[in-house]
Amino acid sequence: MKKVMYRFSGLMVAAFLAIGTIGATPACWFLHYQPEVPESLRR
Amino acid sequence: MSNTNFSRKMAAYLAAQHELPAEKQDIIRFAIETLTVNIGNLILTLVIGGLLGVFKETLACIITVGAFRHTAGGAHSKSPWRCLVGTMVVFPSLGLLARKISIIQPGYAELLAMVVIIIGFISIILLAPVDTPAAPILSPFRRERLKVFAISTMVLVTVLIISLNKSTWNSASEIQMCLVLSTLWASFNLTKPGHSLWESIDALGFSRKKEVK
Repeated sequence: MKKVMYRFSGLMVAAFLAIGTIGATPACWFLHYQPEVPESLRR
Repeated sequence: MSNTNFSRKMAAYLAAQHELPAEKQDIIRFAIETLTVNIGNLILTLVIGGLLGVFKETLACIITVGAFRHTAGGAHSKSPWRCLVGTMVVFPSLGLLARKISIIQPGYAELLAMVVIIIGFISIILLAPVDTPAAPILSPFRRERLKVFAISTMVLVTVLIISLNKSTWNSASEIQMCLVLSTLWASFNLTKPGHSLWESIDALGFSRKKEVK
């Protein structure tokens, strides 16, 4: 797992940053649990 | 606030690898947590729905409630584990209930659909969007925009309910009832009793209280 993460870590970081930014846009997702939105993405 | 251990550790690892600031690490943590919790819950809920023989009904309920939650928000559990249990119980139950109700006399189902549509519009116009301390809506402009989207979603769902009523598709009445019950559930989650329900679930002692600071 760590080897895979190390090899693709740059791609993963870019993907997660994009998903995190997009994921903070809706009021919430479909579930009944809301992960804490980072301060920088609150608006 | 609850952050899962896995998302925090993985975000810390990736941030260390690329020497990212704390702000970016927190965005990565949020993305990992959102993805893992949503995908895990989605798969398990659909598996439960499939085992109960209501896969497509469960999927229809998830899509409908998801459309409302994206725009109108609503009550949440403070724990991903309680959310998992709640989601695994609620959506297949809505699917099963929809199937039962769809086989009663058509007049009653139509009456229920009409009542739920009225409840849906009233709750969304009066209450949406409902935010949470974990994801507050700070901008009045964003609040207004989410309200418009929530009302648009309600209009779309209403059109679908009416269209399914006239459809000759075999599963039309079941899916129509899924839309009706999901609208009722989404509306309920906007209200104070909906928040009280999730607070009561949070107060139950079956989930571990360990939180990572």
